[in-house]
This record gives sequence, structure tokens and C-alpha cells, in this order.
Amino acid sequence: MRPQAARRKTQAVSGKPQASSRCYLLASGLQLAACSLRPGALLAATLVLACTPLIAAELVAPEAASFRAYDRPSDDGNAIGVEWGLAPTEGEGVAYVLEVASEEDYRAGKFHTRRVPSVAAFKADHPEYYGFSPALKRLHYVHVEPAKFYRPQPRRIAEPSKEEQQKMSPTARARVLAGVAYEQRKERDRLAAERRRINGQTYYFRLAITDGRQTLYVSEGGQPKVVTAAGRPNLFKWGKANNLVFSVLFCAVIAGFIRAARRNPNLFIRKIAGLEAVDEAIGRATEMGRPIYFVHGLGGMGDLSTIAAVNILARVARRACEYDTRVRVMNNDPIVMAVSQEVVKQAYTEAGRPDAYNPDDVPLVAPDQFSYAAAVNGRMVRERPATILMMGTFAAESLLLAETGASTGAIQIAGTDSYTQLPFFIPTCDYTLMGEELYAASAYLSREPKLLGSLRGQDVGKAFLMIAAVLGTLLATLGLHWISDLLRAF
Amino acid sequence: MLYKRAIPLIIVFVMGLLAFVHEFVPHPLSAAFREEMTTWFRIIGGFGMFIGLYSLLHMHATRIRRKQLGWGYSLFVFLGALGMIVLGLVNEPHGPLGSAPEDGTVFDWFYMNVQVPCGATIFSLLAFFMASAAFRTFRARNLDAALLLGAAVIVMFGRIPLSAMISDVFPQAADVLLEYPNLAAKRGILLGISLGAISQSLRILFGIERSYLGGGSE
Amino acid sequence: MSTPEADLRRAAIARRVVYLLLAVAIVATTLVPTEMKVVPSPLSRKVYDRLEAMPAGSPILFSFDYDPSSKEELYPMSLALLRHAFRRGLRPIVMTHWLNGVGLCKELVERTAKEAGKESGQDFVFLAYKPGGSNLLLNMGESLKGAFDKDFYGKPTEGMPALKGVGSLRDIPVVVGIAAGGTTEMLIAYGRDRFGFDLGAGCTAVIAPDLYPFLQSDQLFGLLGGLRGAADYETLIGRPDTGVKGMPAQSVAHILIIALVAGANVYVFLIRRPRRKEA
Repeated sequence: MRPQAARRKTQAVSGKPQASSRCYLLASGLQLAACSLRPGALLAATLVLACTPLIAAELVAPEAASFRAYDRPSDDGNAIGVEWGLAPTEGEGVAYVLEVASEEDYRAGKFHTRRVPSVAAFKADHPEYYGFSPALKRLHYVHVEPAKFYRPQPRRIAEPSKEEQQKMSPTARARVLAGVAYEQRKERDRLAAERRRINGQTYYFRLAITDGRQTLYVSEGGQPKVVTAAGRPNLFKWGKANNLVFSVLFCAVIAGFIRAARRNPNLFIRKIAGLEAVDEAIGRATEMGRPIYFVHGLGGMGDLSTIAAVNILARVARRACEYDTRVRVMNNDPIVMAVSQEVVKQAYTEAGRPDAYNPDDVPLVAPDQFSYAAAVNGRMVRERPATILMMGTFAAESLLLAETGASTGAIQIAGTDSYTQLPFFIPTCDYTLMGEELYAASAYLSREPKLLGSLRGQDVGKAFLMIAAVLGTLLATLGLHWISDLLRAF
Repeated sequence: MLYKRAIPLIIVFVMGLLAFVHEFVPHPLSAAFREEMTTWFRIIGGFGMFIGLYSLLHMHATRIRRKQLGWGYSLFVFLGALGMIVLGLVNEPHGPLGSAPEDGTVFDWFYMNVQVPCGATIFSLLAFFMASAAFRTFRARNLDAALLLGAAVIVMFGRIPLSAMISDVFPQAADVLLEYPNLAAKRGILLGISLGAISQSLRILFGIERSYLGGGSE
Repeated sequence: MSTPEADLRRAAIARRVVYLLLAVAIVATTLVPTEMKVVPSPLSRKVYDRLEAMPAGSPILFSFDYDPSSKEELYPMSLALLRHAFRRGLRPIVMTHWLNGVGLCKELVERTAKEAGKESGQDFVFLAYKPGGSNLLLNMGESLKGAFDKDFYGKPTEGMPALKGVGSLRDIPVVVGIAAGGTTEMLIAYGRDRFGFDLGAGCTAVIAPDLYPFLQSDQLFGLLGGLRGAADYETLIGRPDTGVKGMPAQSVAHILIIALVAGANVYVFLIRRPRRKEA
């Protein structure tokens, strides 16, 4: 490396010219002088220059004040963060050695070690804990999980061999294996608790820098500096603070619009063709004297699309009951079936026709995906419903259902948040509710101010995202990452 | 009534809030709570299967009894269900409560050689249904439909090896369509879905949306 | 003037003709041995190149997350990947997040190991299935042997030669997930982004477009999509099998659909519309 380049590199790292670069300058000066002398002197100067790296490079440790250990923030208490500043003599072949010891080992002078290359492991690599400040690029950082050095000893759970199991009666075998599984579960819980206890104790750290030939400790007062820390479980993930702030803001916007909607109930919502067509579809079934099929899809009651579908089912069932039209609900999940039965029964009661409710019209068709598709298809082809409403979460069976429905001549309205299936519903169904249109169904059909207000709040959120996306893209193109950092999710 | 409305709404609010809070709290107690709730959810779901089974068998028994349209198929439901239950209980060759090591059981055999091929057969119908759906609906009636048609043709042709043999342009065009306009549209839809999901979740959490409890808005 | 019933009848006949043509085309192409040259796509090549670049003896985790219903598309690519891994002398660690997929995985691993003369526990390990999904991944990121204390065959993972130097997911440089569902996203969020391994993916053709965002953000280094991805990989490793054999039928099906759609449009715009205008 040319002497000027070496000086610039070390200055960029620490801001001060270093001993090794002064030696390079000296050697280069010698060589220049030798050029004006005889070849023998030139050869001697060249040899000096070649040996200069061997004699002049001294390892320099990072500043002692920069070496710290602390509880890693925003975690479950299983790790300790250790940081230190950059050293002037970092590079390939130079590494840090972090020494870790429990209190007992520290008193005995025993340390576990961990090697960290000097060109890696920066605090800036962990924005989920420490943010995006440029100063973090000038700090090395590792997190230490003490339980990896001081592993708890697992207790051996005796399990009968296959030959022993064959000799047992089936009942005895089942009892023994259940007992073993229980003991294994207890042991796993014990080890997890033990690891938490180990990680929560105080540990002692020392730091050294080495290039393979010499090792230098970070020192204070002529002695290797020792820092201590203990892991503690924290109550908040600061990396998700932006998430929390946006959630609270969004809630506030929705709450605000709900209040506004109460005062002025005539909020405008654009037409959603699929929902406008529900009444028409029910009317068609009534005229043709054929049933309405409501197909829930594969989602469970925990899926938002299923909850939205149940909202639509309530209104469809009530309207159909008023027109004396039969509704058959095809369920894939037993809990969804139970909720659908309750919803349809209540809808029929509100319509004044509780006697018309038949639980066999809201059955569990099949819990398996393709069994469900086959069963629903078979019923569609035999009963030829006039109207088919497919609302919920769908997977590969979406096209099977939609195409079979189309072949029967039924009017089909589909609504799903499974965006992978939208391309199959759109060409095969008369109307398709895409994603959020399905979620908006209850507000759209009931026109309740509270629900309409939440829709308006949702639109404000979307407007914010659109502006953030455009601005963020522009700024990121110019090398400014404020918005993308602000919206980063951890 | 208290137990039909107020108590379920309180449960929904409290559990929803705890699940929300769990996302922001790294403390081990929070993780332990979540694991416990997930385990209970699985247990309740398992019991729910009994309700579903009863409903299924009751419906098909009624169809057989009344000789309704397609009652013959309902016989197969009973045959299949009963058959698999018996095979599972008998568990040959290991006997009831026996373990099921590498060589499998009769139950496994029926699952792999009857259930699985039946499922694969229904899945393979997708190819035919896709062809008939495309034939029926891909008409260039207007600009939107023409764009849809054009994109579908480019991607369908670009994904087969024959297109790469003719020219690299075809697979590249298909990839460009998938990587840029398709992706942009998907991201837009996803953003809308996410916001809609948050709004819906808030409505459920605060009891504004109550249809899932079984009944109207009262 | 056509009635709705007449329209339905016409549509039913057209549908049946389409089904018949498609069935004849696929069956004929399958029965008549046809060779088709497969030019691997850049995305498939990236997966291949990544495995090729791994030094012999490196551990690699395969997560085969599908069940028998997706076997036709995903089994051929899984087979090709394992064959490649064994040929390169890598140490495959095979698992699945789908309970119904264990039988398929077992058959796959035993078949390829037998072909390559590899021994379980020495050259590869079959961990099979454990419930937990994302929690399981987090556990594996802390300690692989803690998450799986035994392999599928009951051998303890502690001290197993095939897992030498592998304490957790952090010690595995490359993971390849073959998915019929959403497990790729789970591997990204709970695996790659936390533990820093390189992740490649394979999936059914339907969900392949959904994984393109991850390719663009470099969270996936490559993608094998559907049967075409399997055919690409078989071509790259020089062992054409089911994937390559399926390409003529797939190509014929696609061309037939394109021809039918084009024909229908020609009929509507050049023949039926002028006739209606005349009428």
C-alpha cells in the first residue's frame, strides 16, 4: 500500500496519523534518497521498505471508555450487548477476542472466548434495537447469550427400545410412551427456565485485539478493563415503537370518523357492484324457485374474511327468508358451521319465520379441501342453485367451485382476500369483491354510521400510505432514507 | 342478555388487547401467555370437530331417510367414515393403541391409496376448468379485456420451454409482466387488504361489529 | 334470438369439446415419447449455482413443506435438489412443516440416499416433522439439537456426524424451502431475517408470482416455479426425469388453450358479429 493511502485509511478510522504510517514515510524517504546513490544502496533501501511492515506495525486497542456491556434492550432478557469503538489497526487478519466469565469463573481467572473479525459485527447491523444513527457504524457490537457458554445439563429421559416396546402389551406401550413424552416436555420446560436463570446472572467481560502474532487487551490503569452486565427481561420492544404510534394514530382517525359519521350519517361510499347485486341475486333465486348457495371457503372463524362473510350471510339469510327462498350454507370448518347456524337461525327469527330454519341447510360439508370442493360441486350440479355467493378464504378449489357454478347458469358473486385466487374468480364470476371490499360489506349493506365512519378512516390511512410511498421512493432515489427507516417493520 | 352479548364482547376485547400488547412486549410472560392461548385454541378446535361430525352425519342420514335427490351419495359418506374409523381403531398390523412405525398400517394404506389419489384427481380437474374458463371469458370486448387477454397469452406462452427455443424474448416478456405490473397490482391490493383488516379488527375489538356472535346488531 | 337455455346448452357443448381436446392432447403427448429441450430460466439457475458454489461437506437444510395433493409439481424438484446435494457431497438436513408430508419426505430421502449410497446419520439427517411452525424455526435458531433431539429413525442428533458443526440455524449457510402454502414467508420472517442464512425457494406455479417481491428484495436468492422449475433443475443437474417428461404435455396444453382463445376471438369478431350486424 502506498504510504499516502495508508495514512488516509488510518485517519478515516481514528482521526489521528499512526505509528505504522510514519514508518512507511521513513522507509519511502530512504528509498527516494537511495535512488540518487549507488545501486547497492538502492537495494538496501528496498529491503528496508519490504521489512517495514514487519517491524513497524503495532497493534492498537480501541479506547477503553468505548468498551461497555449492558442488558440488550427490547428483549426477553436472554442476551447482553457488548460494544466497543473501532481500533486504528483493524483489517483483514485482525480480530477481537471477547472473553466472558461468570462470577465464579472470573474469580478463578477462567474465561470463555468468542472471536469477532474486526471487519464485521457493527452496532449499525441491529437497527431493531438501536436505530439508524450514523454513529453506530463506528461501534462494534455483539450480543452474548450466556446460556450458550454455560449450557444447562439435560437430564436423560429413559425410553424403552423398539425391541422392549414390541414385548409390551399395546396398553402398556401407550402408557409408557405417554409418560416419556410427558417427561420430555417437563424437561424442555426445565431447560428453558434454567437457561433464563443462567442468562439473568451477572457476567464479566474483557476485550482483546489480536493479529495472530500479538494480543493486546483493552486496558484501564495498566490492567485489562473488565465490564459487567446482566440480562433483564424488558417490557417494551422499542424497535416496534413506530408500529405502535401508527396503530394508535390509525385508531384515533377511525374513532374520529365514527364520531363524525354519527353527527352526519350521509357519508358517501362509492358503489360496490358486487354488493349492489346481492339483492338482485336473491330476487333471481326467488323468481326461479331455486335455492341460494352460500360457500364459506376454507377459512376458520379466526380469519377476518370469514367474519366478513358471516356478516353478509346474516343479511342474505334475512332477506331470503322474507322472500321465502331457501339458503344453503356450505361449511368447511365446524366452528364456522356452528356460528353460521346461529347467524341463520337468528336471521330467520328476526324475519319472523323461525320455523323455516333447518339446521341441515347449514351443514359441515367436508373438512378436507378437495373433498369440500367435490361435495359442493356435486350439490351444485344436482340442485342447480340460482345464486351462488362465495365469500371467505379460498385456495386452489376456487376455480373448481366457480367454474362448476358457472356451468349451472347461476349468478355468482365472489368475495375474498386471497389475492392469489382473484384471477380465477374475476373471469368466472359475475361480480367479485376484492380484498377490502369484502371487509367493507357489513358497513355497505347496513349503512350504519359507526361502520361507515370506520371505512372513511380506512381511506385516510390508504391516502397516507400512498403519499408515503411516493415521497419515500423519491427520497430513497436521492439517497435519503428517512421515510423508509420510519416505516421499517421489525 | 349478559351471557349472549356482554360476556362474549368482554372476552373478545380483553383477548384482542392482550394479543395486540403481546406484539410489543418481549417479556417471557407475554410469550408464555401466547403459547398457552394457542394450545387452548387447538384443544377447543379439536372438540369442535365432534360438532361438525354430528352435523355431517345427521344431514346425510336425513337425506337417506327421506330419499332426497342424490341420497345414494350419502350412503358413501357413511361407508367411508365408518370404514376409516374401524381401520384406524383396529390399526393392523400393530393392533389397537399400537405404535405406527415405518411400515405403516392399513389405515395409512387406505389414506395414501384412496384418499390422496382422489384429492389429486379433483386437483387435476383444475387444468380442464382453467381451459374452459379461459375459452369462455377471454374475449377482447373492450380495452381492459384485450389487455387481460394479451397478458394471459404472453405469460402462458412465455412459461413453456418451446418459447425459449424460438426466442429469449418470450420468457423475458413473461418475467417482466410478472415482476413489474403484476407485482405492483398485488402490492396495491395487499395494502388495501391490510388496512381493511386493521379496520375490521378494530370494529370487532371494540364491539362495533357483532354479527359473528350470531344475530343482528343488538 | 337465443334463449338462456340455448346459451347454456351451447356453452355446455363447447365446454365438453374443450375438455375432450385437452384430454386427447395431454394423453397423446404423454403416450408418445417426445423430447423437448428445456432452457433453464435465470431464477432456476440461481438456485443451482448457489448449491454448486457450496464446498463439499457443507450442511444444507431442505424444508419440504407440501402434502400429497401438491406432489406432482413439487416432488420432482425436491428429487432433483436432493440428487444435486448428494452429488456435490453436501450434508442435507431434511425436514417438513406439514404432518401429511412426512411419508413423502421419507420416501424421497430414502430413494435419493440409496441412489447415492449415502447413510442416514453419517451423510444426511432426516428430522421429519415437529409442530410449531414459526416457533419451531425460532427453536432451531437457538439449538437444532434442542428442537430435534432425535431424527425420524430414533437416533439421537447429539453427536451425529451429519450434524457436526451445526449447532443451530446460524451454522447452516443455505436453506431451500419447497412450499405448497405460506411456509416460504415464514422461513423468511422467522428464519432468514433472524439467523442470516441464504434462502432459496420452490413452489407451485400458482403461488410463484407471490414470491417475486422477495426475489427483488434479495430475501430469496432463487426460485423454482412449478413443474417448469423442476424441469429446469433436472436439466441443470443433467438428470431429466418427471419434470422434463411433463414439459411436452404442459407445452401442448398451453398452446391448445392459446389456440382455443384465439379461435374464439376470431369467431366472435370476424364471423359472429358481422352476421349479427347483417341480421
